[in-house]
Amino acid sequence: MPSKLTTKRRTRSERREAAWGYFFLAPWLIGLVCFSLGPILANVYFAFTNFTASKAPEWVGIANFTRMFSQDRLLPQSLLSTLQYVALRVPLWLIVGLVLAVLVNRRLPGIRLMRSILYLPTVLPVVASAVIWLWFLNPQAGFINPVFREEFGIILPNWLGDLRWALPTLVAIGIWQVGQTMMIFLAGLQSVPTELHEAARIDGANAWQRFRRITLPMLSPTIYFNAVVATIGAFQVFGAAFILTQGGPVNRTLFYVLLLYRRAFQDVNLGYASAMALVLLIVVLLLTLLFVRTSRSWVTYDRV
Amino acid sequence: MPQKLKRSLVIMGVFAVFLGGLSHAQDTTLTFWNIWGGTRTPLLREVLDRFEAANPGIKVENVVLDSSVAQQQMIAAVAAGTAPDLYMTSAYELTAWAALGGFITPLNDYIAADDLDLGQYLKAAAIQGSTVNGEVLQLPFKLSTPMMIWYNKDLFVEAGLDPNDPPETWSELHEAAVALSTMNGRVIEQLGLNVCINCSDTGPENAFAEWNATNGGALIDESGLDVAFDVKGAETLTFMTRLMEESVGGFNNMAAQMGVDWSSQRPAFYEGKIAMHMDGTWFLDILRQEAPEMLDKVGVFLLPYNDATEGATHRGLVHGVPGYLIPAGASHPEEAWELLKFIALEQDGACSFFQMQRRADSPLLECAPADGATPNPFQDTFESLIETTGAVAAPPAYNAIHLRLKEFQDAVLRGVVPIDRGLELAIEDVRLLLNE
Repeated sequence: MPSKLTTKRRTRSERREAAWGYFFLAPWLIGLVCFSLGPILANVYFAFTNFTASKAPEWVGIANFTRMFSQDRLLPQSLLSTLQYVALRVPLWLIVGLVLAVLVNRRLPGIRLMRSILYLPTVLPVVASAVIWLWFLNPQAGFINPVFREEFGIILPNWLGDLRWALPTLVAIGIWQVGQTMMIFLAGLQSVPTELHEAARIDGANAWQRFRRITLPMLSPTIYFNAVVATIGAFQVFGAAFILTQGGPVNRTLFYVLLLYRRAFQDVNLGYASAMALVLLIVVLLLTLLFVRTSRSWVTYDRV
Repeated sequence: MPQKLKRSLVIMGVFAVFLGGLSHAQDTTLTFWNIWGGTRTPLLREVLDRFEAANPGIKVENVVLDSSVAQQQMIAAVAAGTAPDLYMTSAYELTAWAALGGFITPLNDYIAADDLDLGQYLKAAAIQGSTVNGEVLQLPFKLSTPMMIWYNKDLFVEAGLDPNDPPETWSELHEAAVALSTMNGRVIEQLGLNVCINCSDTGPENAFAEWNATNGGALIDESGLDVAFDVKGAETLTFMTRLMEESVGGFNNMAAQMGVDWSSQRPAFYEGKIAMHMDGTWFLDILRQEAPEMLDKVGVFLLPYNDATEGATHRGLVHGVPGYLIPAGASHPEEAWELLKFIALEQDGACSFFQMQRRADSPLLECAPADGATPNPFQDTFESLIETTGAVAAPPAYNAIHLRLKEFQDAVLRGVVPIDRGLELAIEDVRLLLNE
């Protein structure tokens, strides 16, 4: 039986260990409070004010929210554009990421180089990437349209300036940076026990059957994670639209966050923009909760 | 080394460092936020160096911002209490910020203290555009001017048109655009004119507003509380739509092949694929840098007017004037005022900067081209442009109105909405904006 002296020493040592733990966590905690939690709480407050940056905010209650849902002419279009973008991008993101991961999950010469090349667009800054695409897709001076027009007489759409194609083009440009998702899928693929595949092969299962019955279920936690991250990211789309289309043509790519930016910095209505941000936070939180709830029916963490 | 000598050297060293620090502490550093990027940055630095030489103790930190984020950075800075000492506005920011309050330091007291008569320096329209409710809130750095049409004289000759007699009226322009456009099936081999340049973006150009002005119309009525484009708007849009349809099979066909903005169409103009091109007075300097070989074959003319409208003539109508202002909360407003006077009013500052850029839209009463400067072959046309351009104050909601009108003309030209319905919706929305 431990003596009182031993118990006291353990408790003190545990406390010291905990203190050191918090000490090393402190930089991250301070960053979280100063750069994430603090601004979120400030945003919640500003959402109920008429803050315009030049004067102290005045409390206006739910006026910003009332205005948002009854007077903002551009809000319905921005919601529609955003939902279309999410609906297109998230499945494509997952499918392309998974397909690439399957393709690079092999022991071949140069496969590591291939993985690096596929990952490279992910580390490119959004602005640099957008400028490259702006040039590439230019209908006059770009790479694709002039060739088709002058050599074959085929008129391709002005990808970023066409009413029907601007949004899908932004989706496609976003897919270019799927490298990180690919790597996460790759890690998931490599954690699938090979014995299961061998056993299935012995039992006569073909590649597709093995993929469907073994790989996909074993990969479900990874798919779940990537789906949540991709959905949150898709709802926050801003950079590419800001640089490439500025919300046009005719607001077809006026995404929610781009409209929020306009309300904040062109209309100088930071209180209203804060209300928009709060609504977005709630929507994304609810969606994430939905993912969590539904995941019980299709995500398996079993490894045998 | 003897102890006494060592001690003396240390004392002298400390004293020298202290004096050096003191002299730096006496220097005032002004931060000047502007969008004079590219080739203008070193030219502005030259002007600022002259100011510093004439004002010992004042240093100017030139901060060049991208035009797409300048307003955002300014708003964030004001909110954070870190506003610059001097800020360069666009034509429509001034009245919007004045209406909100708390953004701008009025200049009336500084003007009175220096016994300045702005009318001795600046053109009346420029002063009017910088004044809100009797308060001078900025000093203008240029006159707002509408676009003009730059054209390729060789292509005019090839099409059987007289390059020395460019179109004056809408009818003549329509005919020229049709004559100058060549198609191979649906493929556009040569574009006569894109009548709605930059219509799909959020930049300051507004083709509908400019064509409406040449039709004798206005955007906002004199009270500032109601629309005025309902009168001539439909006619203006019909002209724009018909010109595109009858020259190149419609705006959509042109947009698909030639793009819709300067980034696509300026290179095409240099290559001779576009015969007439809408652009501003600044295009002359851009041509000199990007396509000097074009200078001998280029001409320019004012936007034609609607010959079907009685009494119509060449006419430009601009809203607001861009300038430099001292933000509220600037750290050194007195020194900023000295800099502001230099770069907005003085020959050695304001005029010199425009002379270096070879511009003709200076708001100064006197700012002739510098001696020995390359003459502007289009000086007469530029002067006509300024003479025929009227300026009115931009209402506080002007930016939102401007964007709404851009969206409206883009939608009509692309066939998303018929002219009448588009106009009806735009009128409704602009009325709401004016009365918010």
